[in-house]
Order: sequence, then structure tokens, then C-alpha cells
Amino acid sequence: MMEWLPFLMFAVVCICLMIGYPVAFSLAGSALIFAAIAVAFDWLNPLLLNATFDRIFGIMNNQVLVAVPLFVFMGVMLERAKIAENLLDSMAHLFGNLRGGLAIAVIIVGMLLAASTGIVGATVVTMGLLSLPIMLKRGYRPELATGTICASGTLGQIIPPSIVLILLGEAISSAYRNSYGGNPVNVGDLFIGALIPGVLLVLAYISYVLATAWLKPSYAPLVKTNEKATAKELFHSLALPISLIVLVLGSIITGKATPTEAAAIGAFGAIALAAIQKELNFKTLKEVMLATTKTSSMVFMILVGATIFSLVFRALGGDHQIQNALSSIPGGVTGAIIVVMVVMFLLGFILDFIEIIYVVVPIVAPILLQMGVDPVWLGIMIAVNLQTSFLTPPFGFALFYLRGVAPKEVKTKQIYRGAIPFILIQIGLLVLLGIFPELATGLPQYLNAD
Amino acid sequence: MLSLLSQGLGKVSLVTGKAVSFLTLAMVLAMFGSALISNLFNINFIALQESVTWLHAVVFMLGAAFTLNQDEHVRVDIFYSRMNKLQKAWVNLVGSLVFLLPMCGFILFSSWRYVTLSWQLQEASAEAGGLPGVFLLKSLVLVMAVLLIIEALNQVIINLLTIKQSKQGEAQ
Repeated sequence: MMEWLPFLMFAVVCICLMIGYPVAFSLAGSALIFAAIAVAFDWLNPLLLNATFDRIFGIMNNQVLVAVPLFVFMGVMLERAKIAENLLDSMAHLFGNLRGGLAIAVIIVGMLLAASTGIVGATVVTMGLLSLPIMLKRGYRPELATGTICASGTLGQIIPPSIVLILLGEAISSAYRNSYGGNPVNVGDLFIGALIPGVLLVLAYISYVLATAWLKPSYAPLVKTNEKATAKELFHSLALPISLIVLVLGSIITGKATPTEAAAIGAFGAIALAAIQKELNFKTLKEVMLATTKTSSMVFMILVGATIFSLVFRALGGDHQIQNALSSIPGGVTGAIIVVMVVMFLLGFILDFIEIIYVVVPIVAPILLQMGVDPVWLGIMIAVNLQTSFLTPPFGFALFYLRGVAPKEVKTKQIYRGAIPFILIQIGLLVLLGIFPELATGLPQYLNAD
Repeated sequence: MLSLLSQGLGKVSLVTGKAVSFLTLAMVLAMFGSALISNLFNINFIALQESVTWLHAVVFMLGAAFTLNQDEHVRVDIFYSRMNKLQKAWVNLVGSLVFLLPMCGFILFSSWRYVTLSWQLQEASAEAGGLPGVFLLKSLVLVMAVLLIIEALNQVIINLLTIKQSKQGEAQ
């Protein structure tokens, strides 16, 4: 009976989550109900739950995670000050005479919106509202338009400075600390490791769009526009935001700033950009501050809830059960990795990125790391894998959210069909990363060697 | 009567949430300042860095109830998004009673000892040049639980009223 308890608990908690009450409280509440029953039957030592306070305090006192609200502040400011919107506009102008140019603009803006939020839904909704109407108006086939938007909306997760990469990096490095002691991986390493896979993805997306536009011109018709953006407009709406992103990433890569400091530089820079665009006023500032407070509370309450969940799971002996299960899989490390990736892919249908980072990573990462898996590679694999999961019909989150904001003329089937080429690109990258782990691990090692 | 009580309870969340939201701007400015100082003068201002971490803790611990009030805590909404108003009210009523309130009770109960101990010791930061008053930071755990209980009671009342109204609507 005892061996089954942790798995039963996991299943029960997943069912409780599906009911739809906020994740943070469902996680903690259902785990505690389970703990109460287990204590009553003497299956669990209640003293093991005394660590709760220390864990919560640890979350409050974690300096790395301070980067999260700062990056959220930056992203929301860029969005509310219409900087993201203007960026899309001028990109569209810039690529206006290129077949498929608008789709390429969407991909690049999706990449740059990385910092704005860790929630897939928010990015896809923003991108959908901003660009789907324009793309359809210009005669893009709905499949190509929706596929590009969904894929670009999830792109922000793997491109630094993505918030989920910060959370994932912190989860993996604390798993590393627990299994080895010391702290050789950090969030900066994961950011740098994500650069090459991220750029590869962007290039693959762009090549797909260009190839489609060239082979099937009716998918992305060329509309001659006479509007020409002036050099000054382009400078304001294009060069400034891009230099901000470069500044933020550059200061992390060169080691001049920690991710937290870089986030503050980014947030301050976003305020400055808003001021330059004359979009900075007290109302906007208040909105940004409130949105940052809410997103930050939401993210960290999930962390608190997941902490209580994983304490109960451990107290029931769950980590030992998982360890036994994973080490008995045939094929050693490769087999274990494949099983973990498939499970995460499936969980991606019901849980968002942040929940998976907090609930699943602390359980499986220590075991995989002890088997000798590289922490940076593991992080990137998880990120690309989940991104793929969010794009996969019929349950992918990104597709749901785009359906919510797409006009009725766009059929759900078209949204599904549009996602398929991008899913193939994702799978291609996963296989590449599996064969050549250096794509993820090479750059951080090279930079750390100096 | 009940709806008046609910308005009062909700007001607590709204006021704290709006108040702490200003601290997010303070965090940006303080951390930016600290990054400048450490790069230009090569000094690590521990107290300034720690104060940003503390501000962050204040924001998300005290903003949690406000976020609940604004319904911005993430849900798995595969089924929830398709429910009608009455079904949603039941989910929120039962969730508040079965998940949220017990969670807050557990956090209060299990943290009380540690927080009072920290007050007795007048605990300060372990870092050299760090901030005094760690006992205040630790007390935030209790404050968060109390604020969430207040907002949870507000949610219980709101959803009970929704359910009652829709029952009356059916009867007519």
C-alpha cells in the first residue's frame, strides 16, 4: 500500500487541478488533505512537514528569483507603452516588400517579447490580437497566419531573458545543490545555453515561412503598400527596443551583470523608452505596477503551493519511488530521459510551464543529474519539449488561447493544421539536441573557460 | 448585510495590493542603482541588494490576496472556461473552503513557532553588512496567511450570494 501512496497522491492532485480552482491553492490544499489522511493512518510522520516555514522563507529570500518581477515590469512596460505594437508595425514596413514579410515580423517580435511573461497564454493572446487581423486582411492563409502566431507566442519561452528559463534554472540548480552540493550551474548559464538553440528555432521558422511563401504564393500574397516609414520612426520603434534587449542580454553574457541586475537595467530602460515615445504617464505607470504585482504574486504563490506539495510527496517517500522507477527503465540514462520527456510532454497538455517546473522538475531532476545528465542540456531539452507540447493539437495551450481571440471565420481545424509544420521543426530541434548536446552546452562552457 | 461585509473584506485586499504595487517601481530603481554602483565603483552594497529582495518578498506575499480578489491566479481552465456562472461559483466556493482556508491554517499553525522565536532573538541578516530586522521579514508569512483568509472569506460570501441568487432566479 505504502509504495502506491505517492503515485495515488500525484493522480489525485492532477484531478483536483483540473477542477479549475487556482493552481497555487489547489496544489497545497489537496496535498494537505492527503497528508492529513496519511497522518491519521500513521503512514506519514507529521514532523516532516515542519520544514514548510523554512522553505517559504527560502523563496522570499532568494536573490536570483528577484529577476522575475523586474523582467515582468520590463515586458509589461514595453507592451503598455505600445512599444511592442510599434515594433511589429515598423517590422512589417521593413519587410513589406518581401513575400511572407509580415509573418517574419511576427516571429521576430515574438522572440523579443520573451521577457514580458512566463504564461504562454498572455503572449499568444497579445500576438493574436496584434497581428492576426492584419495578416488575414493582407490575404494570408489562416493556416500560415495562426501557425506562425502560435509558434512565435511560445518562442518567448526558450529565448532569453525568458522568465521560465530563470525559474527552470533555479529549480535545476537547487536540484544540483541537493545531489552534489556546491552550485556550478546558474541562471546565466542556462540563458547562454539557450541562445544557439533559440536562434536555430527562429531561423527554422523564418525559412519555413519563406519557403511556403515562395512555393505557394497564394499563402502569403504580396500587397504593395505606399506607406513608407521615415528613418526617424524606424529608429524610435525599431532600433531602441532592439538595443535594449541587446544591452540586457549582453550584460549577462559578458558577465558584467547578474540576471537580476540585467533585469533591473531592462526595466529601467523600458521606462526610459516609454518616456522617449511620450507614452509615459502616471496612469500607464500605475497599470504596469499593478500588473507586475499580480503576475509576481501569481508566480510565487504557485511556488509556495508547489513547495507544500513536494514536501508531502517526499514525506510519503515519493522521491525514492521515482528514483527506483527511473533507474529500472531499460536503456539507462537515455531511456530515463526519454520517459521523463514523454511524461512532461503529456503533462504539458494540462499544466502550464511554471507548474511543471515547480512540481515535476524537483522530483525528477536530482535523479537525472545523479545519472550524469548535464544540467544546462537538461534545462534546454525541457524548455523545447514543453514549447512543443503547447503547440500540439488538440490540447496545446497556445492553440486554445489563439482560438479564444481568433475571428469565427478561422476554423479550429485550420489552427491545428497550421501548427503541424512548426511541431515538426520543434521535434527536429529536439532530435538535434539529443544527438549534439554541444548545441546547448558548448557556448556556456566556452565562455566559462576564459 | 452579507454583501456589506464582503465589500469590507475585499477593501482590505484592494488597499494592500495597490499600496504594495508601488514597491515594484522602488525595486526597479534600487536594483538599477545597485547595479550602477557595483559596476562603476566596484562596491557591493549588500544592504541595498538585500532591501530589493525584501521589497520583492513584501510585494508577492502581501499581493497574493489582492491577486485572488482580481481573479488573476492561474487556473487549469480546460473545464473551468466552459462552465456557466453557477458552476464557477461552486468551484470557487468549494475551493476556498477545502483548499485555500486549510492551506492558510496550516501555514499559520506550522510557522507560528519559528516567527515568535525570530522575534525573541531579534534576528538580523546573516550577511556582513546586511539588514537588521529579519524577524519582520519572517512575520510576512503570517501576514500573508491572514490576508488570504480575509480574502477567502470574501470569496465564500460572494459565491454563496451568486448561488443563492441563481436559485431564486430558478424559483421564479
